[in-house]
Amino acid sequence: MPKLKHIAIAADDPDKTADFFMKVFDMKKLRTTDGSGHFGHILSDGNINLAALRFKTDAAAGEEFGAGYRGLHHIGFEVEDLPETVGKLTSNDGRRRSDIDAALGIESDSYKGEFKYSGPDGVMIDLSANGWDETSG
Amino acid sequence: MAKLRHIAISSQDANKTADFYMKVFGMKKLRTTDRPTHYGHILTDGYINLAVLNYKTDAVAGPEFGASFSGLHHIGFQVDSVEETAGALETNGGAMRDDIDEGFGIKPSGVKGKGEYKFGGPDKVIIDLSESGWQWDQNQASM
Repeated sequence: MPKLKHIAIAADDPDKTADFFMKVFDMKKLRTTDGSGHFGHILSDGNINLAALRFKTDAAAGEEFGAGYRGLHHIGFEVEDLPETVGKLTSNDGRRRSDIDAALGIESDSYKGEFKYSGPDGVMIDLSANGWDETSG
Repeated sequence: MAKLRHIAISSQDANKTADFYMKVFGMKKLRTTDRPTHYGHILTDGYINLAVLNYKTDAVAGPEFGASFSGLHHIGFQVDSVEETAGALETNGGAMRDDIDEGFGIKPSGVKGKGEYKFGGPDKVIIDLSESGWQWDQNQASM
């Protein structure tokens, strides 16, 4: 069964936001990421992977959010069978976000890695067969 | 240690959104909630409690969102001590959202008791705190 394992915050100051979740909720920092699409910190409570990210471009954030958006940005599900879930997403009006994948440099013709979709209510949803760091629960 | 156990989506069609997560991700519906302040469905993947809610007033959604907002709305942490975590939250720039509690008809009285408390965190993120946590299994009694 798919598991909700990832949540991302579009942060004004990822250092400050990550510090907040580490100090208040004892979350552990796994790593810092600094790519062409975003800078931020990846945290974990042992079960859920929380990313505090500052998107560098509107395309990487998704045009509907833009790089200036602040708040909860997307969630991610770890799935066992990526093609099967993609099929269900497509047949239930989920929309592949190839625009964001391209902005983040994710290969669009592979079922490895992490893929972005849009679901109902404008919620952005990542799919991953490999999951996220330190999400053992 | 605090655990992130709850995510809420603000939806204009809670039935359709709940169906989506059940059909696509195999999530199970725990219950339906219908109150003067919100209508929606509580789902689970066996660990995370996902609430899909249609807020009926701007006050309960938080005025910065409003009832018409659609998208990820708030997250919730189960903590050992709400009082202790609330103190850490306030020390680090968080603030209790008495306005939202009042929208739900809860008289602000600080973090007393075993309820669910709403705080504002960085980046406009609303954070629930609860000692008893959220229902995540169909065999659990409703929490």
